[in-house]
Amino acid sequence: MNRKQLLTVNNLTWFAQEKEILSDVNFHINQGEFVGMIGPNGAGKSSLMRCLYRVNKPTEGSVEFDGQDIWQYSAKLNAKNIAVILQDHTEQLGLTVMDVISQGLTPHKHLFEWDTPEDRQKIERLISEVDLISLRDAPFNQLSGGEKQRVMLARAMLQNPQLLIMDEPTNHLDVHYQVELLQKVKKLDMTVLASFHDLNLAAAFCDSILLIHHGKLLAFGKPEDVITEKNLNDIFNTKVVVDQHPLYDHPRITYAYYE
Amino acid sequence: MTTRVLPMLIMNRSAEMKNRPFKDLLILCSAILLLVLSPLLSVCFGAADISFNDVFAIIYRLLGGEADVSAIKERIVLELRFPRIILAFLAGAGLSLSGAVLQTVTRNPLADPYLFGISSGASFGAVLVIASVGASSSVVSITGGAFIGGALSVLLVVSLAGMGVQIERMLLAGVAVQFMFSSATSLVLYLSDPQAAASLLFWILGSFTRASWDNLLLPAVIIAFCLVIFLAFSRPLRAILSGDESAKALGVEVYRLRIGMLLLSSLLTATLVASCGGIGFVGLMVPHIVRRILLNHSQYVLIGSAIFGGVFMIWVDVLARMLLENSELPVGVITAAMGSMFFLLVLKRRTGSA
Repeated sequence: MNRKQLLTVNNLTWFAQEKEILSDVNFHINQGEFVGMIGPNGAGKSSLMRCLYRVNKPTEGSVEFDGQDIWQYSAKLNAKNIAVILQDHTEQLGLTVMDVISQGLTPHKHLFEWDTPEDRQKIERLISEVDLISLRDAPFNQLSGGEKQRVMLARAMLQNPQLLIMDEPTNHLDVHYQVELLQKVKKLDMTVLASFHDLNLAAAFCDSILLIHHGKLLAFGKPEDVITEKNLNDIFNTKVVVDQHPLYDHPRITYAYYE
Repeated sequence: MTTRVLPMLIMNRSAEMKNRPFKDLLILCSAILLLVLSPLLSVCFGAADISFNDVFAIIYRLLGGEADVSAIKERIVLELRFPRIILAFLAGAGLSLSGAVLQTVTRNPLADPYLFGISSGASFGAVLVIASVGASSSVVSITGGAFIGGALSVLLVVSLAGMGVQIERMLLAGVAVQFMFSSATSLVLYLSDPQAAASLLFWILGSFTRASWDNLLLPAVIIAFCLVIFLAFSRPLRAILSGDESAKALGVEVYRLRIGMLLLSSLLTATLVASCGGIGFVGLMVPHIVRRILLNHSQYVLIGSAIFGGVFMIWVDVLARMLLENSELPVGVITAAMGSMFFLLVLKRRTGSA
């Protein structure tokens, strides 16, 4: 398949207070791809993602969206291109599910432009798409982890981006919700970049995988090429067996617990 | 039993949903009713005996009708009480707006112009102007002094607590700044002559006694200006509530917006401090209550806070006029007494739920 390059990362290096966190990262994401990012804790996954949605400014190199440096776009235009679902959600002042979802309209509206009836219809449709009708007016901070992630997914869908970035979206979720969330995302047919703790989920849902270690991109390719016994033994410092999943044709990771 | 309760619960739930526009309408109507009735009723309370009929007669005459009221009563109502009620309304509306915006941009449910040290910074600026120029200093120069003091305290709090939002750090920084400016104000008071000090003190504690028609325009204009700007930015403000990183991902220039809103809040507070002294805790209480009544839609919280804050202050001022016989309490004393209780309640609820 020959599809257009949506996001291009060129020689990206990023320092946090004199310390090099990311060094010389190069990769690109094509339109329509579901790309996963794996790597041990502290590898620089979140830092790399923050470089892509303009929280971290690259020290060297560049991040291009659709052929143009993301720092040349306005903040608003960037938010129309890229939506982000974060790992943790802070909320103090009692926003409802409805309020949080409607935040997705922020980059699409001018000052003084309030929600129109069409906007509200769109929000209602999204609420039912993520099965939250009964929680529509519930306070966001009283929801369970899985419900919160579904709210954030609906918000990202309302934002209507070309690229969806998710920082460990399945963290803190029960297995059922992990699978359900990823299936929902997969069905959107959107270009996605998501980081994973769970290597089996990454292997199952991603078209290609980025393997990050000590701020460097060690491997980038199809799951079966990246998720190999050698790579995982070296980098995650755990003994693993990689074979084929019994139901599907993607790799399966089994951990060896005893010597 | 359960089989019968369950469908009932579901029915109630859907009935509730259908009633939401009705609830919104009810809130709107009661807000308008309060807005119209409060000034008319509150004007009857005070040292001089004025009845509701008198008030109507005066208004009727003002509109060109014929009515029988004594000239003294008319002067009291028109020259003293009405400006005072309007100033009280403006103060309550402005401080509540300022509190609502502070709470939003810092994501701190306990933020308040008073607790943030803005009021004490503004008081210090205003007192310094009055003490050095004298009681004849113009409203504009007092407001200017108050704004410089208020903005200074915002910058101090932000530089002490950092742009990252940490509720506890910000509160502590606010308290420290408040102490600093309060002690500076005390020093100015101590150094000025006793008569000036007494009137300054009364004013620092907050009071509407200086209200007159000519010094209502400046606060009214500034409050209207700030309300319009806040409403314009209500969507990015709502986005900030979910966290800085999340707001950035939604295309909000978080730091610029936060500094701008903090400065506007201090402009609001400074204007009101210049015209009626430091009135605390209104900005903490009113937005809290409004958020509880309304479903959280940022722009309605702003408008609601302005209306309910204004009405609340009108009635607090009635209390200030009525509680002591032959004398007046500073309003700031009443709001601080109510507010500190409220603060403790909120704090208890927060630690209870954490």
